[in-house]
Amino acid sequence: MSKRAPNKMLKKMPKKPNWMSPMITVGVVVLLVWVFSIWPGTTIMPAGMVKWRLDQSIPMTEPKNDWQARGKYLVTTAGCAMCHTPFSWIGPHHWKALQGGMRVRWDNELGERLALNLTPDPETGIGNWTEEDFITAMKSGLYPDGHAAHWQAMPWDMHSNWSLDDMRAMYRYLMALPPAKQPKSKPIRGPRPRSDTFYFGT
Amino acid sequence: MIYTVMALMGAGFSVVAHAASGKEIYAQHCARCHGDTGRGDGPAHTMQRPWPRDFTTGQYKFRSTPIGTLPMLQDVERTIANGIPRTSMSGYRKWLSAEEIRRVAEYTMDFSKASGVPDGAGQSVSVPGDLDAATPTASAVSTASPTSLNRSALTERLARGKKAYTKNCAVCHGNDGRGLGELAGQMRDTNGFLTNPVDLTDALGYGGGSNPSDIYRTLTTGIAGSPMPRFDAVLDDETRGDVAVYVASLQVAPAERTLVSREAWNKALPSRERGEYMTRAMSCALCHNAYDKSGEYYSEPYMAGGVAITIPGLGVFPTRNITSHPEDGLADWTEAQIARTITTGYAPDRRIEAFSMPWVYFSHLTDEDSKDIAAYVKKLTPIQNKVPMRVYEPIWKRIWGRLRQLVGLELGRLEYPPLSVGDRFMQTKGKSAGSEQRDE
Ligand code: HEC
Ligand code: HEC
Ligand code: HEC
Ligand code: HEC
Repeated sequence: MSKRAPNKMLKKMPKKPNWMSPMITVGVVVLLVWVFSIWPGTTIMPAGMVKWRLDQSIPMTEPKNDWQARGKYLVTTAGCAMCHTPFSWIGPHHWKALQGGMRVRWDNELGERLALNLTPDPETGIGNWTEEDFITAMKSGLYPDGHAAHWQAMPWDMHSNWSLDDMRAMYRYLMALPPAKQPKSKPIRGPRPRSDTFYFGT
Repeated sequence: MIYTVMALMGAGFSVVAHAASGKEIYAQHCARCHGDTGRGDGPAHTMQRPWPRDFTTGQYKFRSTPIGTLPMLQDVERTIANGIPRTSMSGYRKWLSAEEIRRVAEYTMDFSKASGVPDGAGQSVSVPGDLDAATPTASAVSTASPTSLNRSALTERLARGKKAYTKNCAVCHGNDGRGLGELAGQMRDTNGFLTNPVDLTDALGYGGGSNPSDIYRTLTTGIAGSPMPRFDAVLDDETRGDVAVYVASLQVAPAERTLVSREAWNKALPSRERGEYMTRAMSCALCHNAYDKSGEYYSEPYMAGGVAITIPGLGVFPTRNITSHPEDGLADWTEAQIARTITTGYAPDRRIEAFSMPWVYFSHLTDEDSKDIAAYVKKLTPIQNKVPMRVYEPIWKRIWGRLRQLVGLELGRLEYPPLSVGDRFMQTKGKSAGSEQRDE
């Protein structure tokens, strides 16, 4: 008995085609695209949904002590994720939070710079940096390998205003993130605005 | 043999092909902050606090010579090698050899000669030799064996130092040395910028060195151009030594440090000053300061807006003038409205596009911090600068652009009249900058 029941239902299906389910599917897909893409702009989405969506670009790691808590607060509010989390037309790539890749671009000879990996991966991130390396990089743009970042790409001139303890807090939080290998992508030359780009114009 | 020497010198770094001159080193490493002419006006100086030193005045903070005189070459070399880590001035010991540091120090000191400051350093002050004999950290005092140092003498010395410290230094540096004394948040340096007493418990915070002998020297010669007084006349040599030893004993290793509690911080600093700290460090000006044609932002007009932030395929979002200018700025906004705008995206007249100004990140600010920021923004000097409103691409273009991008085609940029706010500002600079505007 119990084996027959499904067979009966299958036989009935083609006779009474249900138009509701494909429409619901289409509706759901449209809604998903709507929610996950940036093309509608955020001002016509409910603010709560925008917040939920963009919050995904911030790492979810739970802080383990006071320092990491302060660090998480600062890394979140100072908008490090704005540049350091990759982003495209589907919105922020939350599975790559703070792993770098966003393009920062100007209309002029400064051209394009890529934000780098902030997770403690020793090769592509800041895993080998000491606390003082980090403080130097954040405050004066000078990396351990001796190269200096442009201040309008990585805004170290503003970050130089952070106190030493606030920098330490950020470092301790970033070092608590799960390390991820994230090879550096290449800057694009020439006029090719893309939606993974943060575009400064004059 | 010669290769060994070279390998040792270049340890870990690319071996310099020829010995660079002071000028070359300066141009490569220092000019971005200190400027080609040494005036402290390099392209990156704008938002740094304190400003990079203006070498043409011949005024140096960290000297072994009396205030008002030029420093010794060694003083400048020491600063360049160790840096002033609490500021953007990093130590170059890692990147430059001793010889290179000497050359660039000489080059640096030539700037004041060229601008007519009389040549010749003052006389180095003498520093008692026994100060560094035992590094009197708190743990050293409790664990020191009686043979290695005279424990009771040191304890007495620390007690005397503490007494003099409480009397002379605690108003600014606080009783615990964390820089949150009564006068914190009320002092300005010679450029007119807020400058706070240094957190003495942090060895990295000392620009002039953190050993007792260094502190002794700093107390004796003073810090030129800062509100920190010099104590050569106020305290006798012996007491200065005591204070130096006591101050050094306050230092805590980075791993054992604790954070200043938010309550202590909120209590010590006025709301506007806390807001200034957060606003500067959180990079509001990265977007809200105008850029010139070469792409560098202006120190003036500060926060007057006008950068066209483009989200390809979505629209162009010029940053707003957030100074309190009556027509162009936020003069009619209340602090609560500003705080609400940055933390919820709801401006009084519209909603902010979250991809242009990332209010979602600011929404994590504590109420206290967002109020402080609003209090600071509200008091920005009004600057006249009308910024056109944002423009969204029509919805079909947004979808069309998306489809083009999916198949790898370029996204066109929305036609938008160039803002060139900078140029406009430069023409009217005399009229619009600063306080005159207030009187109109
Ligand atoms: C305006 C965009 C932007 C913001 C905001 C930003 N960064 Fe960056 N950051 C960059 C860019 C671009 C680079 C790469 C610079 C280069 O080397 O040219 C970078 C590089 C770095 C590096 C070096 C990383 C490495 O692996 O070498 C660190 C560390 C860093 N940023 C930390 C931070 C922190 C912490 C914050 C938040 C307080 C932050 N950044 C905010 C754009 C940004
Ligand atoms: C990232 C910006 C930056 C760079 C690069 C930089 N400096 Fe500085 N420098 C500063 C700042 C800011 C100060 C002021 C610190 C203060 O007032 O406490 C300063 C101060 C100084 C001082 C004055 C110390 C004193 O006793 O008052 C000297 C000397 C100096 N720098 C030399 C150099 C040299 C030489 C280089 C290049 C090798 C260099 N700086 C590179 C930012 C920078
Ligand atoms: C009027 C307020 C004030 C008083 C009083 C004061 N200081 Fe300071 N102190 C400051 C400020 C402000 C700074 C930061 C200077 C700067 O950044 O240019 C400072 C910096 C310092 C530094 C750091 C120097 C360096 O190497 O970078 C030391 C050490 C110091 N003070 C010790 C003392 C001691 C010890 C006393 C008491 C004998 C004292 N101060 C009294 C305001 C004060
Ligand atoms: C990434 C760039 C960026 C950063 C960083 C930024 N802003 Fe904005 N801000 C904008 C843009 C773009 C707008 C206009 C948005 C719109 O019209 O949708 C804006 C609008 C505003 C407004 C509304 C003004 C008006 O007239 O409607 C206020 C207030 C404001 N910003 C304050 C701040 C403060 C305070 C900070 C620092 C905590 C800050 N902004 C950081 C880009 C930025």
